[in-house]
Amino acid sequence: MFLFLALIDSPAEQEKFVEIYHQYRHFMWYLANQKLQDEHLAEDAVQEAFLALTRHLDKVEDVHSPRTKKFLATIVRSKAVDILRKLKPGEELSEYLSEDQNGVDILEQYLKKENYNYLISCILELDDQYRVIFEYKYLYQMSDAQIADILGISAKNVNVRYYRARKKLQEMIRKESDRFEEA
Amino acid sequence: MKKHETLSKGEELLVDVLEECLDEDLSFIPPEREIARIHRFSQRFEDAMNGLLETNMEHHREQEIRRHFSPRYGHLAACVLVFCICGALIYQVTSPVFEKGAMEEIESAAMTEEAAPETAPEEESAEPESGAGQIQTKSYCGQTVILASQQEVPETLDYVTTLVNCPVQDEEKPSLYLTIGNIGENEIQYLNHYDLEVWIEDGWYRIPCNKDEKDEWLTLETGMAVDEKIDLSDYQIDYDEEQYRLITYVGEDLISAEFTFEEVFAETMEKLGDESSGE
Repeated sequence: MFLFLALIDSPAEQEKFVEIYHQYRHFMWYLANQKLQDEHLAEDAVQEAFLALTRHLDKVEDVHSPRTKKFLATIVRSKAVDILRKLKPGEELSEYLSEDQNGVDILEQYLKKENYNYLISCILELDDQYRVIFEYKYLYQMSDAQIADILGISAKNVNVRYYRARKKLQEMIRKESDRFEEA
Repeated sequence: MKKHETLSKGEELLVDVLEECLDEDLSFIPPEREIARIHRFSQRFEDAMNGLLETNMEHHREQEIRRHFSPRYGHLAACVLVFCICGALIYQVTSPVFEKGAMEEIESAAMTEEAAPETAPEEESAEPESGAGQIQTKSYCGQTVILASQQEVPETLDYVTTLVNCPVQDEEKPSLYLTIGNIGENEIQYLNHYDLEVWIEDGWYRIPCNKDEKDEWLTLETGMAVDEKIDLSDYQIDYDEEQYRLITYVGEDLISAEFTFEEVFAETMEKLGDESSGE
């Protein structure tokens, strides 16, 4: 019942949404365009991002805070990734084929202060499709169901992407540290 | 947004790294105004977003509600709620504790009234905000007005100026003229929708507009000024209230023009007086 009431539109939420739209639409377009290199596709990504935002306005406390800006950046980047995946259906298929359970997840072992600089460079290089999953999960503390709702995929697929992202990051940190040791 | 509650040390480190990387990425993004200069949204996008802003948001929400709740659960929840309310009422009426409790409550309420005779005025319908989720509202002219999200709005910007320059001329169809002047070096975009706000005791409150018209961004060339007519019959206004302001959306900025009806009226009457004496 309370959840039901929470979903009902309030004027304050509408006002918040309009404010976000006017304040950040160009910023969001710029990010999407960086990724897509296409003005119109970037507009589509912004539009999709705002649609997703209507369902997650509760995550925005202060419209003008840097955290809100980052949250919007994550949403629009994930929407841009979505559009890119749709443009390359082959890649999309391979993503959904299996859960890819090969290999061991030992990322936690690599997440140490000594590896901070490797981590920074790895995250900066990490593909956005994986990075946004980390951001949703760790920065905004969103559940698999919430992430699934934003990305328009199933919660199970969120989990698949999450584990792939962990493995990918683990692999990148290992390679980075090996390269450093070789040098 | 909630902060990390049950993360391992490694994951906390990952959070820091993700924050830092996002900060770094975003530090290369130019300011909104600059991006607005290089990109103008297509009409298709504007139409779609206007639709979303005006109507689709509600429609979208309805769809969400339908998706998450089947009517069967809604009915069930409503039945449980009615049952609980009835139960509580019956318990209160029949319970022997009720009379004692009610008497104590009445007494304490009376004491509070005696101790604080000058509490909120009649017109106030809601208490000021006490938590993050609450909205501060007041009752004004038989309607609820919401505390404006931005209280501090500049009256002057270096590239644009606004001024209310006409009194209430006709009580039957009152209107104001808002002059917007572009004093900057570039053309500006302004929205043909203006927020009328009234100062009530502790802040600016937005008066709802009854007009249902499509908002549009208009262009104003450099060095030009434009008079925009504001039809006050679209609002329910108490003309005796002291202070009002019109908020204009100019690009990414807001600019306010404060006025009072008496003040504007007096200014114009003085001007008319000067003109007639000059003749």
